[in-house]
Amino acid sequence: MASENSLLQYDILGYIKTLDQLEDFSLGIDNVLSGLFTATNKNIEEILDKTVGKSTADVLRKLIVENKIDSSDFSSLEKLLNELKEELKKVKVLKISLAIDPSKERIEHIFDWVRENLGKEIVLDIDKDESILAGAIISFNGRYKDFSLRRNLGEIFKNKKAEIMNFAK
Amino acid sequence: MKDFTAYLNETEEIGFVEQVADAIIYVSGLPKVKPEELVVFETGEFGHVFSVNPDYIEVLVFFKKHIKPGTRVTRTNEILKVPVGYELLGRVINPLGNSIDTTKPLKTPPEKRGVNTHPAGIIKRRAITKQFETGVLIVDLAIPLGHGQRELIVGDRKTGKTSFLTKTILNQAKRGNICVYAAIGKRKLDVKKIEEFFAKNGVLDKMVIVASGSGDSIGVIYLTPYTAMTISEYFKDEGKDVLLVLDDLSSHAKFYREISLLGRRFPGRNSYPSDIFYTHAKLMERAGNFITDKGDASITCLTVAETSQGDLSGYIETNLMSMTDGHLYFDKNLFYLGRRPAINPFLSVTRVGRQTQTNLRRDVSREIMSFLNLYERMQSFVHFGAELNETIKATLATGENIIHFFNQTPGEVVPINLQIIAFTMLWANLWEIKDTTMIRKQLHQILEAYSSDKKIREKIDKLAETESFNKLIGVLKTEGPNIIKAVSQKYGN
Repeated sequence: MASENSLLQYDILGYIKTLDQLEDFSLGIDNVLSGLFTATNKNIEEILDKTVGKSTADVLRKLIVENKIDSSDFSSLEKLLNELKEELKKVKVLKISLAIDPSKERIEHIFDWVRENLGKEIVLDIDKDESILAGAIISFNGRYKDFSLRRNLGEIFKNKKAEIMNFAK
Repeated sequence: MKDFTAYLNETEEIGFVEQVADAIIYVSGLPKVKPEELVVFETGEFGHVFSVNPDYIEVLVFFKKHIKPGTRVTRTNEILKVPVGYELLGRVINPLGNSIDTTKPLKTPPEKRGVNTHPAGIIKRRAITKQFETGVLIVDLAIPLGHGQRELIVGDRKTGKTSFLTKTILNQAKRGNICVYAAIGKRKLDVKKIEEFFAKNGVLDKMVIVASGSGDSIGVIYLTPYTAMTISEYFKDEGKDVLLVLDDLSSHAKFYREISLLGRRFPGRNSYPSDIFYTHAKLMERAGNFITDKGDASITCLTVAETSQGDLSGYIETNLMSMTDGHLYFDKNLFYLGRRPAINPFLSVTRVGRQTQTNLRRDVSREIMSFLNLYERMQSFVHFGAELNETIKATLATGENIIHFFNQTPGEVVPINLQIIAFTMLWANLWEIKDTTMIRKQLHQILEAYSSDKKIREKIDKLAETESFNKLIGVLKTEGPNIIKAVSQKYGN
């Protein structure tokens, strides 16, 4: 059976790095749960093949094996998946706005840094906003930090404008 | 006010809309947000923090626009404030301080004040000593009010409560006092009618009307009495005597109940939240008689509550009764009997009004109340008809005359000195009364004379300074006929 924190115990969040992946994974769990008691499905393997993608199926398979769930024991699997769903709801989201589309390597780099410095139960929500020009805007746990070039330039323009206006007086 | 991005960069705190329940929006994030703080949505709208929970905050919004879950929210580090100042006089504004009247632009006053402030402490308060003149005979003579008194106006629908209030505002505004009228969740047409009535009578420039319509957001309606009270406090601090009318707090309670239920507060009696008493009492405590930097000033608060089927024992009505200094009960049955105003003097209470009266006024008030009591008891003998003895017949006839004397048309305001003299004339049988219509005629004549003839006014004002009722009757028996003669010669036709 899943422990207090199966996300950490089985390092599921090692596979899930972004909010999109988290949503896909949650959707996958929902699909498996709805397929569990369909008359045509005979065992767990069949359900996983039919309802979810390969990466999600691999994670769930690993989870089933490590929790020693029998391939016909649907109720234990249902309980496990429901607990997993609840734990996924507690995962925090670190939102980053960048001016570019980050490469996979860059996302992994950021993700590794976040895991090491901020904790493991965090996923990234990266969006592209060209108007920030460069740098990043980060929101996490209700905190908001604007490290963008747009803001720096804005402040420079504001100061210079004040200087010019003073000079003009 | 700044925009969303400016506040976001300033406070560096962000939240996200999680759930929308009409006027209550659940927001996650914003770790350092404070209760009652103003928050701003990405869409530019503002809301006010209603409660703070460990996982989310409840935001009360002041708009009807739909907000999507996921919308960003940030703090402002400011509380909800409304503009206050003389610029508001003569205007109809919404509870956020914006003009409802689109034809004339409102010059926004430079000063702003928080709407939900704490009531002033005991040191800044003063006993109520000045009589508050409503211009309504039965109130000023039998159930007097004082400046700074909080009086509940309670009664069924369509029993003349608004008519009484407009009359009182008219009288107070004409005397140079500031009047603030809060229309809480009223129909727009009703607000327009009220505005037009005061404009027609030339007192709108002494008034501020704070109005919210029944179609407005619940947040805006909830805010109405608080904004009106904040504006009243400004004028009070300017050393003015202010009359504040809250029309009506039973509707306000219903809107607050809606907000609380949406906010998942535990429902209490009649589903009202447990803090409904506190909510209203805190508001009512802001009225009173105060010591200010510019001298003594008062906020007289007339609060309206609507009863159902004349039931005075309703939850909100009894709450309001216990937090005010008395109540005027508008009786549906008296209204059907043709009494205008339909105030029931036996079920009405004034707790501080009598202390403001002079000896003469107190004498008159006592005499009226004891006579009305007697008249009420004598009423049960009416069915004996011709068998009644002369004393009872005389009492019943005088009673009927006094009841007719108290009847007033909607725009008719009678100054207090004239009220006393006119009543004493009636009491002393100085008026020639063939039938009850003569009472109105006599009163109108003397009222006209009082307002246009300086000599008569001075005479009446001097007579009203007499020490006691008995002495006044004595004086009037000699001087009264001359006044009546002078009045009827000049204003007889």
